[in-house]
Amino acid sequence: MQTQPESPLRRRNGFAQLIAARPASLRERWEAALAPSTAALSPDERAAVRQIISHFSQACVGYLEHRSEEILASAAAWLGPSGMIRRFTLAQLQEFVGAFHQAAWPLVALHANGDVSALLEAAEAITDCSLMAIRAVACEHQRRILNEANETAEFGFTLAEVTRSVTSSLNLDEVLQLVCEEGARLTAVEGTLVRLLEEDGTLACRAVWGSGLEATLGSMVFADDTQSLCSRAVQSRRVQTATTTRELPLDPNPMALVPGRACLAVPIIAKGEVLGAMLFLGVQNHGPFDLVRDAELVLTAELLVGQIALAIYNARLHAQVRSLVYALDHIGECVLVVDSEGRIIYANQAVMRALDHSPSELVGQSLLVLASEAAEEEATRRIIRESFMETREGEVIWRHRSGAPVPFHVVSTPMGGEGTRSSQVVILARDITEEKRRQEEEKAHRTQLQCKNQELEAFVYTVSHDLRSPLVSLHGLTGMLRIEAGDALNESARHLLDRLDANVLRMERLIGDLLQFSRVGRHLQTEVVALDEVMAEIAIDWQERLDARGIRLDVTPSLPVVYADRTSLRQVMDNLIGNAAKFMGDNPAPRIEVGGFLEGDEAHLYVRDNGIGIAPEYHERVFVIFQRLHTDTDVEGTGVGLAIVRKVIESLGGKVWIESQVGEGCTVHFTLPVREKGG
Amino acid sequence: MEVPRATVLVEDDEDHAFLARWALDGMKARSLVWLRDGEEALSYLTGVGAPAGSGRHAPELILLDINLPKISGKEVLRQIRSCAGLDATPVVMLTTSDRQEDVTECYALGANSYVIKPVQFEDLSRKLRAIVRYWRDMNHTQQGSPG
Repeated sequence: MQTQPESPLRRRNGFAQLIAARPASLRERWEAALAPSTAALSPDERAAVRQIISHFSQACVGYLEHRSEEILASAAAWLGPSGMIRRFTLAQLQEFVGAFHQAAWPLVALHANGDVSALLEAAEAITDCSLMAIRAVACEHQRRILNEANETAEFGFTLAEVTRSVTSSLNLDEVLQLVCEEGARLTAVEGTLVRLLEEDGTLACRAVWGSGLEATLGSMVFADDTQSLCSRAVQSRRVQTATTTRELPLDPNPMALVPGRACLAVPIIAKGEVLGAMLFLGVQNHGPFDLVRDAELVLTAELLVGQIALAIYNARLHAQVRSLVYALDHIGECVLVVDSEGRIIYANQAVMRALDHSPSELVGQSLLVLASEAAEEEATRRIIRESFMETREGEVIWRHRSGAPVPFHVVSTPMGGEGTRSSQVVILARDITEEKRRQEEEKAHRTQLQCKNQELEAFVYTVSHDLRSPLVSLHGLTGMLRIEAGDALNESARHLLDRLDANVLRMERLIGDLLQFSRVGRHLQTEVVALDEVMAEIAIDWQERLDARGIRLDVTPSLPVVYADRTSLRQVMDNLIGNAAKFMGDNPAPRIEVGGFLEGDEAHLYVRDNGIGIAPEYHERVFVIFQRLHTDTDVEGTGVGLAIVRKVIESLGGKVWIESQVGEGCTVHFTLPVREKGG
Repeated sequence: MEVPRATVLVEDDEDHAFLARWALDGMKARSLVWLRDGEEALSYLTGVGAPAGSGRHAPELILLDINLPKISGKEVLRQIRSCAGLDATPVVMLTTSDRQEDVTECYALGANSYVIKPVQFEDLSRKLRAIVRYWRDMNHTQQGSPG
């Protein structure tokens, strides 16, 4: 009994080594599988078989009898009932085994769906004393085994190289080119190319390797082009094979290739999505494609294509990351990510714009470098410290490279979201310099306005007071004159004194109104006011006066509740009703209607009368102080009522306007907020 | 038996002073002392700059305007109230200002009353007479009361 110490199984590049590397448990499995088959052998033969198993490979699983039925039966048993067995005739087998004491033919299980599921990879002759082959031992392995162990083979090293490139390079075309080159070397083909599915449904050639194929780079074929092997692979989602010919145009133009050689197109599939196909053209030193013989090629090709799928996946991820980074760099807010030690691990370009620190120089540094003063360091530190569990907000002052302080509004969130205990914190910092400046400006403006108002008030007060003083004298003096002169005054002189007094009193009223107007809108005590209540009080106040003139006052029930100053609001309603009553004219059925409704965040109110009305050209003028549309004798008043109404309503945040036509009555509309602004 | 004490009017407006005089004329020949500004008023009331031996004058009633030259009515009021012997003298603010701040401030400084001068002469006359009568009655009641 002789065995072959230097088995071709061993020398066979890759696979035998892979098989040899299988663990003991697997060997035991094979031995168990072998047991019933070896039972028919003589003890010597059995020993020989075992020797082969132990010597060459833990995966030698069968033996070959002289009868063809046996090999088929064994193969069927190994591959399972679903396998379609590549049948070898005994003569074929014996030809190999007998002549060379070895065989290098694989058995391939081809499932109905086209998958290659298992291999009988090689066979070994067991010879008798005269070195005649009497048995053959075949070894089996599964693709699974190959996948698991690919790094142990030279093939594996190359593949690992490809894998490393795929995972380290973010340039998809670079990776594709590498896969093409290495793939061509590994599979020993004349040329390779990769076509990727574009958005428009075409397959664009993104990488080629092989002489005469360069022109193909960038070319495209339609995905439904049956002439293209790649398209067919993409359409069928299966490996497609063909043989190079001079006649049948393939993709690419095969003229440059030696005719009669195997070609292979493998679909690139990631997560069920077909992304393209890789083409292996013209397997060297081979004839037409032979599924059994080229099973190894198929496997290698599929592994390479798997790397392409990974590369595309990476490239897509990278593109996503790039867009995210681009987006992050182009937003106005500073985005920083810090680790649990407070070290910056990411900073966007906004940091550069706001503080003139480039992101690359900040990465690796503590966030505290941004805060230069101890107090600010503490604020920054607190924000980091408290943000690993939940979102925090606050203001910090960081330093511009120039040393200038820059205020920021900061929101810091644990990476991964609220409630997750994270080792990183995402910080969104908004430069609020402008905001602060605006606030300061507004404050200054407000103060200025307040000063102006105070000045104006003082002025109005002084004027009013100083103007009133001579009136006291004037009236006093005419009064004294009347008494002192007594009977000496004739009718005409008394009339003149009466006119003098009337003017003094009118002047006094004007001053009084001016004073009142100047005081309106100051010291507003805003609160929620039920207009129903206010109107009830006003109705009682006015009842007698209105009744005396036969004017009906209708108040719509359920008036809105408004946010206003009660006293000022009373004054407004009082003035409006007074105005309506004043300009009633001689309507036989005089009527004043007060109503209102809610309109979004505002209450819309109105006071409507059926009096004399106001021409549209005066609708604005009536709100100006001391503007009167009627001569003194028609109606009393100085013309301050509506001016006060407007001043009050506008101070309360509302608007007031008039809707009226001459002779058609008048409606004064106004709005008021229903709740505190900003609250 | 007692010397009738004067009523002091501190008023810068000559016409107003004239009107007041005229209105109060005939009220039992009571002397009305007219002082034109705050400084004059203080020196008269506290005796500073007054003729030697004349001492200070504790009037029956002080009618005090607010807008006064040199020293304002409010300052005069403040000094009167911090001056022994004058701290209980009735002071009635008599002014054309109806500003709420003035009213509040004057009461806080110790004014007994705050009267806005009415423009109508008849009202002014009646008001002045009523004030003087009221405080005279008050003083008599207090002096006549036991203890």
